[in-house]
Amino acid sequence: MVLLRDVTVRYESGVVALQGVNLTVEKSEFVFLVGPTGAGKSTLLKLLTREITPTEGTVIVAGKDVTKLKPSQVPYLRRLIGTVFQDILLLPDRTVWENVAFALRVTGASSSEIAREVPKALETVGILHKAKSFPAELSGGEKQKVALARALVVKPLLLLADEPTGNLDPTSSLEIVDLLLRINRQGTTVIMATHDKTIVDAYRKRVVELSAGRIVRDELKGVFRRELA
Amino acid sequence: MSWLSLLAFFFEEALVNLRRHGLVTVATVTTVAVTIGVWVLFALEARAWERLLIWEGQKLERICVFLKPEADEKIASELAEQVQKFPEVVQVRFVHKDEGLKKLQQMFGNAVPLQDLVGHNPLPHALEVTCRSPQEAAQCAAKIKKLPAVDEVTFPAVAVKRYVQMVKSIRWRNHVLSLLLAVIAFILIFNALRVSVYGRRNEIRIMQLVGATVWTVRGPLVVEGLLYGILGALLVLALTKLLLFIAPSTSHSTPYLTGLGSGWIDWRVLLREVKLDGEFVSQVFLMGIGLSFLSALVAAVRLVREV
Repeated sequence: MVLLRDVTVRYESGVVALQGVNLTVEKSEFVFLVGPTGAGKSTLLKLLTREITPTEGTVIVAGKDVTKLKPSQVPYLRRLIGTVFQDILLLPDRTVWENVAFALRVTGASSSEIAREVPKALETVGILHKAKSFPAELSGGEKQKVALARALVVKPLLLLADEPTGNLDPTSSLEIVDLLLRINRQGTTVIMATHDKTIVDAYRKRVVELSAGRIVRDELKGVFRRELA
Repeated sequence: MSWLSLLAFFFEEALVNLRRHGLVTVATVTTVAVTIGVWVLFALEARAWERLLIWEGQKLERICVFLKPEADEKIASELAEQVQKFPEVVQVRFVHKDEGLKKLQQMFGNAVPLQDLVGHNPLPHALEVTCRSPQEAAQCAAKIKKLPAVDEVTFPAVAVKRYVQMVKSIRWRNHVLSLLLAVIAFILIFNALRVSVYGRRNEIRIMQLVGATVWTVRGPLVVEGLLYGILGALLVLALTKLLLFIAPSTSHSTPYLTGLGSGWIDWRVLLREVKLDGEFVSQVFLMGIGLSFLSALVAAVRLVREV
């Protein structure tokens, strides 16, 4: 599903965000991306959505060489990828339903498709009963569930979650990760960048650790820190 | 992909933004309306001038050719044929000296019989030459004057010069002011859309992340710009309707629209040019939509880049 070969990202300021990174993520895998702030986790995720391009190396997502895509082809790549962030980007003047439907509307989905898919996505994340609520009426965990539903509604092959539990309480965090695991079990590849030791240690999934732009650890049933294993 | 749903989405998003930035919307629509309004005024003024000048021009295009006293009807007829062949000439009419005297008699009033005073008709035969335009009348007069049987040629030279200058200056003034207003409206629409892009940055980010094409992101902006044009045009039409409704009652108390003196046409003359028919309505809409579409297109391309 994802292949990074000798990837280096050097920003114009001279900062090296990633250096010689090699990573393969298979279809339906669940990967925790860990490492300190500035290690390159977000940069790696941005490479996959082609928000940035590598200075060197190759990035392949769902069989497409992301580095060789024309700008006009990038939206079609992104339709294969769902994204969830720590700063939950919801539209405050739209209801939960409208926020989720928004993802379908911008890709030109018909009204019947929207009417069919939105409740399914809301049901999956367990927030269908709040469909008519506005974001201001929701808790942090509920907001993140809406963001997750919006990412899911387009039926992505790959789900990228960048610190999705960063602003949530422990209970909500576990709920979100449980949801991600459920989605993963249904065949969606999930890459989740996180600082949350409890979560990583509790679920014992594949852990890829980044430090100063390099992969320093890649364990199949890993924990947050190697020394604790 | 359903284009109809995408179009509906563009309109809904554009309307949300018009509501969200109400003050900017009002300012932009007003500017567009003022621009269209002034364009309409200029168009009406041009039409009114055209009518006035055509009417005046009919006189300015006319040359009076007086023949030498010895030139008889045969010579006059040959000369008329010769002049008719000039490319500038539309029509030549032979004016018999008796007809000339009759006209002169009318000018002086029939109370005093001129023929009785002088004993005979002292006038020569004449030709009345109508040229294609006042501008061409001058050069045509010079050519006719060189012909052997011609004694004198008269045409309103000073009036023709003024006519040409007036037409030129009106055109220039209208073109410059129209362009200036269009630029101002363009900048205002651009800035309104810049505010809109700033206000919609989250929507735009989400759209880009979920795989909206660049034109899907730009679409609501273009539609928003179009709506400015349509609303501006509607405002102009509403005001025109109102003006036509109240015109009879105010035309006596407000004789001039501008009060700027010469060079401007009495507003009642302009109002007479207005017909709120299909042609007028479609022209106003075309102006509004054309201006706003162009501005919105430039703004959308400049403000939303492919990523």
